[in-house]
Amino acid sequence: MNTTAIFTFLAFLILSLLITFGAARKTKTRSDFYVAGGKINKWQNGFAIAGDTMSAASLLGIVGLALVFGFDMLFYLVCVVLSWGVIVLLFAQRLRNLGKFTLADVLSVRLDPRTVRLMVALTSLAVLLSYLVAQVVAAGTLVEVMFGISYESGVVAVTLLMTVYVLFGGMIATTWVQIVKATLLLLGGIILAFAVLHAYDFDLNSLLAKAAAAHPKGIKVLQPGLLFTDFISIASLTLAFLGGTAGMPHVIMRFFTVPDGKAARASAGIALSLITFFHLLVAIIGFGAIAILVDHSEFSLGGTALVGGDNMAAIHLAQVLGGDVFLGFLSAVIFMTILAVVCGLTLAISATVSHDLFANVFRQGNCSERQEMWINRVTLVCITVVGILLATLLEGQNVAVLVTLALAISASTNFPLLALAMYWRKFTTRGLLAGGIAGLMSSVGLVILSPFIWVNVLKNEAAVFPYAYPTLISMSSSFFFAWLFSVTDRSVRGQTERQLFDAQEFRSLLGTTTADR
Amino acid sequence: MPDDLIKLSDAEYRISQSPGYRSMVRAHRAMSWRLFWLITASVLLFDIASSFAPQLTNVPAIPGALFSVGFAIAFGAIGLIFAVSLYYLHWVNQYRNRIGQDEPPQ
Repeated sequence: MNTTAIFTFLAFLILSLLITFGAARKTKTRSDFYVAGGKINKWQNGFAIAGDTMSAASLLGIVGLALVFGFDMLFYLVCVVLSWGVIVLLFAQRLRNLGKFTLADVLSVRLDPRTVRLMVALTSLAVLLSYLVAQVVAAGTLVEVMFGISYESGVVAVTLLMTVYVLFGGMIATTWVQIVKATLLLLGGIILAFAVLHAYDFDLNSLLAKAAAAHPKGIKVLQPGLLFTDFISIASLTLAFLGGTAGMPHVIMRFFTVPDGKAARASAGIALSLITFFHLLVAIIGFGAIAILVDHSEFSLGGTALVGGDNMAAIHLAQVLGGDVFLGFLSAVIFMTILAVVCGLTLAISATVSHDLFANVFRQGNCSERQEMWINRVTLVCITVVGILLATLLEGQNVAVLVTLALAISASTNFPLLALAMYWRKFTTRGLLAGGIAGLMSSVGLVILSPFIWVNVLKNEAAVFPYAYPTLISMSSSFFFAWLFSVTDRSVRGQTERQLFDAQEFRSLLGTTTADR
Repeated sequence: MPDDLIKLSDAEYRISQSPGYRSMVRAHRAMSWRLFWLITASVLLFDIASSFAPQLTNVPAIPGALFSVGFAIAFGAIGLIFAVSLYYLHWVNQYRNRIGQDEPPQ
């Protein structure tokens, strides 16, 4: 057990709890709880968004993938950065100008609100739960290695803590915890990348030559092809990130926390810069992990296998290069990272259930803020239980892969609906329903039939769907059915929705002064 | 029309009919399409290049050179998008400033 890690972790825990209880005093209304009253500035939001993206998957998962597959982990890094380019240029400002609390608010500006909220609640819950489980799996693994307690105890600890943060502090606490965590994670990444480069006298060629010499695959570790060998897998991965990030409900909610559309776009730009910088550091750390850990006497189990699994590569690297003190610091930061991300996810899930499903679908707007908040609290407790159960089932899986599966579902459901609703005049509620169902069924179905679930989790011999990710097929099917059912929609309702496109476009470009915050 | 769908106020409606607003919308739509195709083309190029990269780079060489090839393929697309995005933001802001004016932008 690492005492530095425990002390650093406790210090962060106390700091974040102080933030939470401070935020709790400022959280008075529903708007404060869901979107911090729209009072977060662009810099704060930029750091918070970057914090949401720089999750455990980035440092633990991608460095783990680098260790095993080398160059191919760059696909993940590039795709994350590209996805934010799409958000900055095409989505951020329009989202802020159209939305209020959730993704469904944006889509129901001109489409049937009840149908939209029901459909989007289903897709959002599928996406958010998959993403949440990935983070909790990472937390359980980390705690097991760091503190010497069981994986299950780590899972229970992180889910209980997230419940406390969200229950009391809402979006204000979640945002501030993200800001603190993003700063510390950037610092940790800079120190670790610096240490890797320092170990090889700041000579990149020397680092890469050592990586190629140490890795069982030799020079091939510096070339594409160890993880992805076909166009469909690469295209699916790219699409999963490009569309998936823009369709993540907890990311979309962040754009409602700033005062206007201009601040939303600026904050997305700030986040993009921070994310790009951080992922360049991860590339260096990844090759450092190969060069230093593959033949390390203490941590290597032969080949690319490591003590604690490949997710622990960054942690072991920190210990080798920085000793127990840096190991403690980085572990505590990563644990806080996971905690902060799951808080954002939990908030989005509870908002989807209480605001979209309960208040607007089941009660059709006829409920008090107090009733909505009560349902929100009940949802939080349910998420805790579901998170623990699913994370226990998926113990030992690579975190980056788990996150990408969540992104694949998001890219096949929320993203097509959002893009078509904002940019295509002929899109109607009928098309939304058809596209949403097609995207959800094909993405979830193909994920279950893919090697990841069918072989790794369900222990079958061969996968029914041979590719790692389903996005190329599932996203295409969502777009196709949304298009087909929209262009064939001759209903009066459909005509009205098309006529309202101009008003929606006006509001999305210029914003409004009538948002009832 | 259902009550829960979007409605513009009288002032907003007047702005939406002005030549300045309409020209901004046209410019915005055109730029959005250009960006969409640019991103699609970059991604497609990136994917195709990556798919064929194992064959292209499967020659004896120093590790740094191989890495540089891959890195250039990977981050080239991002650089392109960044460069165009700066131009795009400048363009849109120019048009946004003209909202409500009667004269179409030059």
